[in-house]
Amino acid sequence: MNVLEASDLKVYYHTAKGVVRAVDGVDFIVEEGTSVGLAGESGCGKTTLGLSFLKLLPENGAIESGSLVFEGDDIYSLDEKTFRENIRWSQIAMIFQGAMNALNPVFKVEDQISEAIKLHSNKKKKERLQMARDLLKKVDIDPTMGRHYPHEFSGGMRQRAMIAMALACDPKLIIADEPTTALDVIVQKQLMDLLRRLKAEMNLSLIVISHDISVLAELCDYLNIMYAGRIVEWGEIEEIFENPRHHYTHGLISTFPTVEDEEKKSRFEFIPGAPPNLLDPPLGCRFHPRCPAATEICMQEPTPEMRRISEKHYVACHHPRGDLD
Amino acid sequence: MSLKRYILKRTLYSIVLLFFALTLNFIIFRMAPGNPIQIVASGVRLKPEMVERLIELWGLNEPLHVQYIRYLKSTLTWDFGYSYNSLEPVGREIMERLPNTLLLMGVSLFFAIVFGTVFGVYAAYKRGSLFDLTTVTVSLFSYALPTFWMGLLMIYVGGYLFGMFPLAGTMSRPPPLDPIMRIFDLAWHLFLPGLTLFLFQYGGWLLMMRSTLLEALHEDYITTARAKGVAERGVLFKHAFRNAMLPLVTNIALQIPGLLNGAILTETVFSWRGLGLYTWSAIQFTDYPVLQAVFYIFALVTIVCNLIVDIVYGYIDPRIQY
Amino acid sequence: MKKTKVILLVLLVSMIIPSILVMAEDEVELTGPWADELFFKIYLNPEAEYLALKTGDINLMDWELPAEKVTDALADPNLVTDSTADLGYYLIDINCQRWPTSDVHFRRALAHLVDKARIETDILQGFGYALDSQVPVVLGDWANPDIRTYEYSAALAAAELDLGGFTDTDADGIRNDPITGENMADVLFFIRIDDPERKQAGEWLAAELKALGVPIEGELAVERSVCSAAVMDTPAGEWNVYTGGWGLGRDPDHLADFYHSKEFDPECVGGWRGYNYPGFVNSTFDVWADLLKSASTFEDAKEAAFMCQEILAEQVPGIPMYGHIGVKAYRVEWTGLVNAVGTGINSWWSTYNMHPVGQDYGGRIEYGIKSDIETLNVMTAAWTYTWEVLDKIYETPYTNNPYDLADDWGWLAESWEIEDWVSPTGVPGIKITFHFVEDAIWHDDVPFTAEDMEFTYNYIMEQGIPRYASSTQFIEDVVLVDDYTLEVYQSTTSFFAFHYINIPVLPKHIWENVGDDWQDYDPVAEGELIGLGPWKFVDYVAGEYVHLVANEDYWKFPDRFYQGLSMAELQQAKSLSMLRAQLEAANAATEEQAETISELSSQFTAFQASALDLIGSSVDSIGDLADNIDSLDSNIGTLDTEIASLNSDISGLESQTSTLQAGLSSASNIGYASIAIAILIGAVAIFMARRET
Repeated sequence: MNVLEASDLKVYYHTAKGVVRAVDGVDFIVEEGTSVGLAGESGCGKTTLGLSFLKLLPENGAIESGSLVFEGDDIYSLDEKTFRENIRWSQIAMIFQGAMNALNPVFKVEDQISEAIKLHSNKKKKERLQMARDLLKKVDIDPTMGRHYPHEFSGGMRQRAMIAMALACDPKLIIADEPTTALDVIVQKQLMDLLRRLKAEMNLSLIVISHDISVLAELCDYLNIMYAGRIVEWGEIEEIFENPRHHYTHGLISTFPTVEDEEKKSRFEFIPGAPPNLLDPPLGCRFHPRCPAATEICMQEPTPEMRRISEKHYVACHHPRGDLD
Repeated sequence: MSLKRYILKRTLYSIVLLFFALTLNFIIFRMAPGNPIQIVASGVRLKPEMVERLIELWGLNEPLHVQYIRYLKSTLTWDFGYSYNSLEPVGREIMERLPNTLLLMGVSLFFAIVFGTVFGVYAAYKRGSLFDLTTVTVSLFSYALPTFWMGLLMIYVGGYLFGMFPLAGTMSRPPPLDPIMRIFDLAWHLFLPGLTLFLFQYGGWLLMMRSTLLEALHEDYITTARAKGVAERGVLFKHAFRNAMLPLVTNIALQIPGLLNGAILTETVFSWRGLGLYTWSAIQFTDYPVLQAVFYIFALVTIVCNLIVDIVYGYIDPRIQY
Repeated sequence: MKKTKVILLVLLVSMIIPSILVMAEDEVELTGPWADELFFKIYLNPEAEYLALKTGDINLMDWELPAEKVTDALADPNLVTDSTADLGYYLIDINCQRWPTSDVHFRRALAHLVDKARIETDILQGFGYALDSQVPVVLGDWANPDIRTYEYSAALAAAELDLGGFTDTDADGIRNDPITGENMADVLFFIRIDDPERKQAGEWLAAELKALGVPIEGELAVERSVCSAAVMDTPAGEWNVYTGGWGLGRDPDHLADFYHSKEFDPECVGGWRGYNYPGFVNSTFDVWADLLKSASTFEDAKEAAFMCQEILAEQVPGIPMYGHIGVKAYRVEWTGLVNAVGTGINSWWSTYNMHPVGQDYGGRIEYGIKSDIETLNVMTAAWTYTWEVLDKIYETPYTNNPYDLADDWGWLAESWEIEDWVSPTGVPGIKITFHFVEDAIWHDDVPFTAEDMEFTYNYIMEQGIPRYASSTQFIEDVVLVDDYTLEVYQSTTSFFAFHYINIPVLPKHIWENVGDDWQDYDPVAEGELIGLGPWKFVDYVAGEYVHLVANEDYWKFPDRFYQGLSMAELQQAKSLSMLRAQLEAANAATEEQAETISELSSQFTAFQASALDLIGSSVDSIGDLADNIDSLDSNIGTLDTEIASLNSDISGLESQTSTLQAGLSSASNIGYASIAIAILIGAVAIFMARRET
């Protein structure tokens, strides 16, 4: 069963320079109990996609079209108040990137966690604080630290506190946006272990957004590769690592040596060129200016459709790798 | 370091700073052009007997270090010596005027902060709306208008054309005998100068409140709060406002010198007998002892305000490292 | 020139110039004050003060209207304007110590280049008059009308330059220096830009000089502080021409101060070059200047002053340009104002004489002043506006004709004699004998005697009070002859020495307790602001107002009791005063009945109160009593019934006190007299009430 199912989602930013198509027709599925990775370069729209699941777009951003089904219900049809009260945090929580600023500097950590509980339950303050401390304990933070302010926490602790806060209302789905970015390797590892453990313990579904393929490889069952506002390939994580079909995926995977596979360091490559400007993306396949296999057809509309490679592996490319044409 | 030690440290630092200000204040006036006798003699004929007597009275014949010690003593005891112009004791004059200035500044600052903050928050909340546009335009206008000109306009319109408010002073002449009526009378006289000084500050407060709040609204923790399901009002008034408060508090201290500046002009226009007016006339007559005293008080007020803000910061901003 | 300015000019020239030069002498009333109250209102913003005059918040104001306000004031039917010349003048100061202005021909050339007619029409536009002498006409007889004048003429100026040897020998358009033969060095001009009038006049002069081929440096246009530093404060004296100006006193002795060689201090020992900063050194002038200062008679002093003016006109250490004329305004509801020379319509005499139109006396003068008064301590007060208040409260031995500064009028001292005297050390001097009035009393009812004046001089000399240091500088001795006669010995023969000592009299009974504390003494806080003057101090709120009331015990207070009464009122008043005389007689006769009298007097007090209430209320409802004599009669009728009841009270008392049997008839006399007092007081109350309405 799918916890989350987005289809043909389009999120545009209306700026002074024009319309930025940050998310431009994306289908996205999260099966219950799985963890789904979303990878892509900076500015490809992956954070926007994550935020759009919570309807938390910046002022100039708007969901232009598409539907979002959460546990069988179309939640985009809910009004703002219902969505805020019944979906945000209670069903779908989010761990933000760079927890330094994601926690409000002028409130105590336990109060911030307690606030999340207060918004979605009728529990008394004392009870809420106890819950907050329990949650901190769960993420391996000394519960007495809850009385402290965010600036008194280390980077790793702040991220843990953020995770504790995400767990506060017992959500079905947690979206982790760059959960380990800007942390040192040891702390990254600890955090990933924590997320894995919590996921198993609490039967969570996870969406992990990262530009770091190696983090996703650690955490995820499925992987979506996003390029210029679109998903270009998705599939089971091993499959994608073993057999990337999109030229972009291939490039991306080879750019990041995984922790496990030391050998791949030798295959270290760069993808030439820069990601396109989403104000005016290239016609046809958006990757074609950088693609080694691009032909005439790639430069023409429409954009290539998702093609099935296997049951759990799709790619949007006219000339996928491994095809003999 | 504990909060107590922090406060102690800030206080000590302020005292050292004040001492430097005191010394500088002394040096500046010794270096200033023209000797006091010349100043008094400008335009009037002064006989030598009078000159000698004045030099003796003002201690101008003493060596510099003796003058310095005398200056320190008279300043710290709030005595300030005698005015070159009126020959009156400066300390007494200042104490007479201080309450009026504090009243004018206090009332206008209070209303400027209250209205500036409330409208600023509301404008930020309704950013882009007609309300926002109107308040911002009005604020920019009132912020940019010269105080002196605004004061004259108020007197002309409110005092002369409509005759609703008095043209000058802090009280009716003669004032009513009933103490309650006296308070109303004071309020009636305070209205125009208060409004002028209010408008002088209000725009600044509003614009600052609005912009710091909008800035805070772009912080990550605001997204977190929204993700948690906090309603827009809560986001604005709880999460953003608490953070925007911090620059606001700093601004109170930073505004004080500017406010004194505005008070000088306002008091002059409205014949409001306060320190500002005293300063203005002292500048006109190059009355160094008065200016020295007033500058000292300005420095003192600024330093004390900064100290208070530092201490308040210690309480409201958990990030302060002591 | 704008059209409005032309109109203004015509208006002003027609209005002002005649009044300045002719100085029409209105009548001055020697008794006063005629108004009941004098209320100073402080406006620190002149704009607000002018608006207050227009709205009627004040009736009189102190400052001269600027040009743009004059038009407005002339158009306002509620305002009356009048103009007067300032006690001062503006001149071109010339440095007699620096080449080439040290050459008299060069200075005369400069004098020929000052176009006073144009200054009068184009710059002053009616707010001033051209001037040739260093003694402005406002000083009256002291101005010498027959001195050398310099016609405005470039040709005459060129001729003077040629005469001095400043000729253009090499014909390059720049005149050559007669000493070096080279082209002339730059003439240094200092022109005050903070005063637009002086700036314009100075620039014109510089341009004229340039046109004659004299090089000029910069036409340095700077403000006062810079000017005073360069022109007055440095020994080097690196300047040639400066646009100067002076405020004056009533005497022409400034001639000696400004140009006597001993007033020139080239080394700046005293911190500056002295009053004679132009460095004019002329031994003949010094002789006449010394004579001016030492002459003991008006005629001798006048001759010396005339000679000084002649020499100055010949030698030109300065070129007098113009005197300023100010226009002042007051409300049309008032009359009796005195446009005194040098002060204008807000003079001391105005407040002394003015009263509402249609009323002989009464009313409250609301007088706007544009500055706070610094202190009401008469020993430290130096500020003009403080003296606006203090000169109403304190008295001086004598005063002067408001229309003639040279005409002294006896005041507190009705008369005086000035005699020659030689000090024990052999210094010639004068002895002044003052004969003071005998009926002056201080505001706290202590009688004034010559001892107060003696105390004042001695106190000032003992304490070394700076403000009066110059007033007492020549006093050798003060001798009290009797209660009303005082001799002052001065170690100078100067005619003006008599003017130095005309200072406010201090009440000895107050100031002898002040002692050394004169600088910190605050008479208002002590409740001791006691003077002799026509106005009594009531209240002062710093920065707001000063409240004075007419001093009804002033020895020149007008006999208002009979003033403006109808015949019927006069009859009543006279019979009342007769009754008062009867009462006094009764009092004298019945010493042993003192007890009864005191009992009665308490009843009288109660009666007085009820009578006052009665009269007060009836006066309120009736309004102007003068039109309603009938109702006054009915009031008197009411009084009669009251009198009747009081009579019965008295007879009751009589029957109770058997010890007073013998004096019964006398007691009824007293009763009758008491009624008389009641009526008297009632009448006074009526008049008081009337004055208020």
